[in-house]
Amino acid sequence: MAPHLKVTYFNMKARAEPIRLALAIGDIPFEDERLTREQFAELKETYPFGQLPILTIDHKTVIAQQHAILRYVGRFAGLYPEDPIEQAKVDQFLGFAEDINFAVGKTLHTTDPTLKKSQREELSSKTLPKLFGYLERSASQTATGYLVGSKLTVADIVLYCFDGWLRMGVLDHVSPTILDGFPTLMKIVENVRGNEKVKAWNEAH
Amino acid sequence: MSRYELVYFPMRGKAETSRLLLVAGGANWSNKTAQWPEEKDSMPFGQMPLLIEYNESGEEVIRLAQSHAIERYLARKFGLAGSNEIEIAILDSIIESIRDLHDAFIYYARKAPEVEKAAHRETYLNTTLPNGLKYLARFLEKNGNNRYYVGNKLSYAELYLYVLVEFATTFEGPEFIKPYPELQRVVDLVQKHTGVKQYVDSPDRVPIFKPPAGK
Repeated sequence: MAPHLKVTYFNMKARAEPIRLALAIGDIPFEDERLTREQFAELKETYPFGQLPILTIDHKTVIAQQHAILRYVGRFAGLYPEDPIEQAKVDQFLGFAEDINFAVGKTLHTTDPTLKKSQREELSSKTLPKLFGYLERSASQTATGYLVGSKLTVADIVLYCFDGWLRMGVLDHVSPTILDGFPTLMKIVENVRGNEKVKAWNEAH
Repeated sequence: MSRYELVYFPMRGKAETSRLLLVAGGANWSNKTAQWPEEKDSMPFGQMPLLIEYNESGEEVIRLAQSHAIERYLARKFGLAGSNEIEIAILDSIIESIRDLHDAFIYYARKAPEVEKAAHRETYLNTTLPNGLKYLARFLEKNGNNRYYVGNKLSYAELYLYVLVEFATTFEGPEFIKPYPELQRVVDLVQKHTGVKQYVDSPDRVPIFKPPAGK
């Protein structure tokens, strides 16, 4: 019998959405638990690293860390390759995505507003385009419509979610449409957006 | 047998866990440096470390960037990545948690705006690092305090913890690990591993930081 799965996060997309989408695409039922900040504060110390998201398996085993969870559910959803080299390429992308998060995160910590603005502008005009440039180059070498191999993996889902987040315009002084400049990456984002299960999930949430 | 090249700066940094993996795995490997930044753009993601693997016929099998992708790839090859899906996921999460601490250190030490560095260092030393270590120690307790993160077997999580502790004690002093004897026991375990001990004690081992240019 398939294990009971519960994904716990706040009521937003951020670091849980790729996990939720992977499960939806894999037709894997799961409990989509969303906590308020107050509820989280009370339960925080019980979590492996005091953080969300977490995945609870069969009401007992708890896995933390976004990408650890994503790899785990990805395997069952057919979205994480079995071949070691293909796996490594997906891992390479997931690590790169964390580098992008780190670059963005640096600008979230800055308190001085003038400094923050200039950091954001550098992020928008130099850092992000450069990082996405490497990704575009890598993806266009195979041009399969996916980041790794020729089928959907968790890497594509992460890219799609990041693009969606950027387009919300939440980062002051950063262009929400940076990815428009990268046609191969945009095709991948479109492929994820057009996936039937992704459409169904988005419509329902 | 495969041959590996690990391309990085001549220092430990983000490559060291991979080096310990290659040592613990008994691999045929060597360090390589690159002309930096001249060679940056020729690399798949403009980044190091980079792992290049050649098969027995000398053909390139993979050219892999991202320290954790390299670590996972090597750990799986050498049986140091957990024995079932759940162990794999737990080890993954521990590696990512150690990465968060490593990145927090890099942030305050190298990336934070100069005027804010001291404040970020305070936060790192008084909150981030102690909290992170507390959770890392708790995992060991949950596994029965046998010095392993899962089961009864060495994994790349212990190796990365060793690297983090070595790094942190070098820059922050030995005090911060004293409240966590469970972590010290993992460090001791790794230090006793024959291959690792030889590597760590070797005079050829890369320094923790590369010396400034011209020295």
